Amino acid sequence: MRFAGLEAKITATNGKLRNLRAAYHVASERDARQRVEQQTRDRLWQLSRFAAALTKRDELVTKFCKGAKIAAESYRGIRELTIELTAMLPEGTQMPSGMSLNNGECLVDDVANPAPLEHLAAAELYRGAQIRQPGDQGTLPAAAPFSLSTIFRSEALEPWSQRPSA
Amino acid sequence: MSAYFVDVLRGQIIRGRELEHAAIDAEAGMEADVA
Repeated sequence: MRFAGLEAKITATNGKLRNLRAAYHVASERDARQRVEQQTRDRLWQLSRFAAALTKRDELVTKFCKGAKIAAESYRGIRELTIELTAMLPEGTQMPSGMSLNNGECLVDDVANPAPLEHLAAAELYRGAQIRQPGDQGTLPAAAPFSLSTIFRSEALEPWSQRPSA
Repeated sequence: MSAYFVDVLRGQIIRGRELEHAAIDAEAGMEADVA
């Protein structure tokens, strides 16, 4: 009789245990699904932030290309005039030693420097993009300081046309 | 190009959610078998 009572208690306890286990599994499954949904919402939010920055960057690339187009129009004129200038050199004269009509000219600390056009373009990209030093992460190889002396002070570089008139 | 790129990433996130749910389903199925 005592054993029968114990058996009944064991059966009842096992039943409770089964119910508790079942409830635990249901709850943990529901938690896991909620966690997945929250994770998905977080990731979609991260994606929307990413997409917004990507769109902004695309707009800047377009703007960059528009600027390059304007530069190219000037470059076309520079090339045409370079060829014409060569033929226009007055009779009995020659280009001074070390000078080339293919170069531009610029001032560094008010001193004239021969400046190949591609060096000027690289220097403008370098200082306009506020690159701190050559080889900074993600910089174009085409963005370079004009000279060693202007690596950390790009503002020293001025167009030749800015020189004070004598 | 960017829109396509973002669509691909969104697809990866949705696919990830489906895989996670499938894993939960499989686990629940195994537990039911054991019970």
